[in-house]
Amino acid sequence: MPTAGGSAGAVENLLPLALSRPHDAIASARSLLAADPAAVEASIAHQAWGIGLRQLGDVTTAVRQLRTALRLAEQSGRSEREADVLATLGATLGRAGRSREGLARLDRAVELSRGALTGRVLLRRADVLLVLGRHREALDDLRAAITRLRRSGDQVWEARSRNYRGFIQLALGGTRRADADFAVAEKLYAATGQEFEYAEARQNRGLVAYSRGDLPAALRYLDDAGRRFAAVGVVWPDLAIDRCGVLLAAGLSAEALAEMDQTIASGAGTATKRGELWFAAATAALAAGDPAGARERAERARRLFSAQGREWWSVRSSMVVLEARYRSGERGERLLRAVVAVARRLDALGASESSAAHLLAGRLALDVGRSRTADRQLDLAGRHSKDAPPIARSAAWLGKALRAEARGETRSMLSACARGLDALDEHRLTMGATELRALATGQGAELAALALREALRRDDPRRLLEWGERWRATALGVPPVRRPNDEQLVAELAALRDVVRRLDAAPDPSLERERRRLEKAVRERALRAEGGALGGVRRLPVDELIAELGETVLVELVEVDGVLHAVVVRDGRTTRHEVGPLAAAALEVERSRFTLRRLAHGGPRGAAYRGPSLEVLGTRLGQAILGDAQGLLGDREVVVVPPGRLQALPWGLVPALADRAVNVVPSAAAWLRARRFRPPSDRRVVLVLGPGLSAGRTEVLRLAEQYPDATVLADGDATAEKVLRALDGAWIAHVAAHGTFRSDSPLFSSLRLDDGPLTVYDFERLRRAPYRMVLSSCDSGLAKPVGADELLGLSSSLIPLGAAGILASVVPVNDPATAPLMLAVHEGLRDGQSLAAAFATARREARGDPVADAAGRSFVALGA
Amino acid sequence: MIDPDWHDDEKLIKALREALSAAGEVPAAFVEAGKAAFSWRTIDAELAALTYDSALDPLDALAIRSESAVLRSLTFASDGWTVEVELTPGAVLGQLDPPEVGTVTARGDGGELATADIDELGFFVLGPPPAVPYRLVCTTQSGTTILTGWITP
Repeated sequence: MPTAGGSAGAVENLLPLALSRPHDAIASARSLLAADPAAVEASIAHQAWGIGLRQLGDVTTAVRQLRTALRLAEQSGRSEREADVLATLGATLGRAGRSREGLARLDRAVELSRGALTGRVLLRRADVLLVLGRHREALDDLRAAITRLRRSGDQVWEARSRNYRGFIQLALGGTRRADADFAVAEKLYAATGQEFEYAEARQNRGLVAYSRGDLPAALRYLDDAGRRFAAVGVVWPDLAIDRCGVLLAAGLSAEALAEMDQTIASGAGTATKRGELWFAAATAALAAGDPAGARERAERARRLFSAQGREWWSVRSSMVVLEARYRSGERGERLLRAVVAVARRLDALGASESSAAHLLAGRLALDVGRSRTADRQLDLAGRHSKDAPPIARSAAWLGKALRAEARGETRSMLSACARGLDALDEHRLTMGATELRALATGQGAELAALALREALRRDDPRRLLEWGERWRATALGVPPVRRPNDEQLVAELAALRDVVRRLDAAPDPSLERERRRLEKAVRERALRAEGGALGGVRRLPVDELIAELGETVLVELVEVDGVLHAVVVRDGRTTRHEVGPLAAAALEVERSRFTLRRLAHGGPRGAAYRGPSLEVLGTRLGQAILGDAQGLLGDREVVVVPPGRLQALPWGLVPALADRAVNVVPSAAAWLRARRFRPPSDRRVVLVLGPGLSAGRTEVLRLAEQYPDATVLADGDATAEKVLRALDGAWIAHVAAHGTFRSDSPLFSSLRLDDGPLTVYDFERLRRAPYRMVLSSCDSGLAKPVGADELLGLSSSLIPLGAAGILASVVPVNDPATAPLMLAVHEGLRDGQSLAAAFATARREARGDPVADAAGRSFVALGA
Repeated sequence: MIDPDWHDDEKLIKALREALSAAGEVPAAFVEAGKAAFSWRTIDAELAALTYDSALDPLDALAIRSESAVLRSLTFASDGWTVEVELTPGAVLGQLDPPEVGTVTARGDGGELATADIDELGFFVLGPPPAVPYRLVCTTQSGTTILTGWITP
């Protein structure tokens, strides 16, 4: 590396050290200064000290050190030295929010310098320009800097320039060019041992991955960067900001907000960084559904940015304020004018938010009936580059769809809806984690709703079915990315089981903390899983569905604007029936589940009970959930597809369905897939008994008599690893165990085994789910509705893993009453009946005793 | 709060004396709550006493194939009426027996916390669940008022 100070070679090493290991550099600078060196060396030492302080976040003291360094440089009479310190001081002032003063120093430094040094000064001027949001000027400076630095062989500074240029390319939407710059920078940093900046380059590659919509890769890069920052002892608030962006894109908004608020509270960051932290927190609050909180945070950010003269940032903050006002319910001309003005400024600044701003302007204009403004704004919203990330593309397609709808151009509206959802499919499939895939669908809900509304207007039931299927249970359409050999995950899951088992024996706050830590570790590992090469999503082939249904009747419930419609496919004909408000159906579901739960407890309810009978409740439930569609069922077998929000529905209560085979599936496509799973050639039966079930024991022992060749795991043998090994690819599996549904974190819903809980994360390690599975436990059929219309839960996770049929409960079930029901189900299965048919027979036999009857109505047959 | 930094026995005794006299003064909120409870006594209400609480009945959990009773269920009964209540994270669900149309109100110390309709099957969903202790007041169409015991979330 060329030196500016001639004889000061050893001292010169302090400057790069200050960036990579600030604590060490400060210590060396102090001991050097103690020896009272000449002006040149002293200037370098103070400069390194200042840089070190700046890296550690203490900008005020850093500026003081740098002013001393400048004075010493002037004394030395070396213009290169003076230029170098001026540049550092200018950059630091810029970072401290004193950009104008900083730029003046840097302009002077450019005049004083020559050759490679000019390159380094230009880089720092670009940094200040970047803080100000003057991207194009910054790019010009960097282009010149890279040329000079490469020519003079200055690898470290070339790497820095490329890192900055990559960052700006990214801000302007050029992900490919950005990644190319970051990749070169990373290589140069590695070659020159720049640990801190290497971490920064990794972080920036994470940003590129994020911009491309590859969230798992982004999280991996950012976590790697975090470890490297920690290793050099630096707190780096930029990393929290980047993680916030990734978490938001993943739909994990509450977590993003918590992380930002925590970072702000920790007091980390320079003056300029504080504004950016508040800005990120505001976007997180907006996504988390807290518009008031978003507005407050965005106003704080905007005030900071205005004071620092950072237009690009303050305009973006204004946009968050306006969006928050819209989400708080504000409408009208005044807000419209403000949004249009901000959108125009975002256009001029080349900010990526401009499309979303035009979309909001378009919506507001539609709302106040300003059709020409709406048309123009939505047109602007619909413009996007092919390079744009999938979420931005889908937003642009939404703009196009809304515009076409306003113009009455149905065909182009539907095509825009389809292409917007395609973009989100692409986005979703880059992710390996079930949870992220499900959450990602939320972004397409409006596109799907536009198309559904149109199908309803035309009263076209087939189209209603197709669009209803297009954006329903899509996350369950493909199996999760398998991690069978992830030994660390296996170890963490085992540790978690151990901790929970010990916690059940005796509460212990430190064990409770350990449980939370392990759950967090397991979940984060899963979130980082890469998506597979899945080759796109297959649409529901309606003709194949009709052929496969044969005599069976399909009832798919589709919600449009809060009203439930039943699409019925029977004998190849598709009809639509308006059922009624979704809220009324939800109330009946709640009421039924309430009553079944009371009955499961055996309850204090005796003969004196004068409340509504199960028959009365069932009749009302049937009317609220199926309406007139009940009349079309005849005595056929039925497949029902409820929306995610109504999945916890005890279908056995509905009198019209009580005596027949009913299969429940999250989508018609899922039923079609389940029909095509073939049973394994070896008819392996697995019986599992979890601890603490007295009647369950009888149940499993009696079943063991009926299946003499069965693998029986009980009494200490029912451990997670043994159970998983046995379940893999089994023909019939029966698990009698305590079940827990975790609404706070549904993938930790579990079955209780001898060594602790078996969670959904464990199930996802199966190569192949059992062909048929009976989950004889409480709440095993529950799932949490998330995203647009997706489910996360124990039994729903088994469907994409290859389970053709699952019998599970949607409420707590009574232990003694469940045993005879289960024996009857297996009798039917051994006779060759389908799971739904066997269950229907068993349910009929349970009539008479109210508790047994309630148990029979608490289970549902999932799948085909 | 008393400064815990006692230097000698005298200070300690003084602190203890203060603590004892402070305990003798009844906080204003308690007085208000007492008055509120007294005024309720005068309304013509059926007082329904707690007859079952799942939180106090761990044996019951054994009959259920669930790890932990996430939901708490309660039963209040008077001579003529039963109110079955379930506390979920998002709402208070209830069933009035015998069923009758009416309204239900959750009342705490400071007055009304939430109110909802009781439908023709005697069912109600009251939400969000109060975060402070409350009693349910069910008023039926026929003019009966049923007051449950205190529910502590």
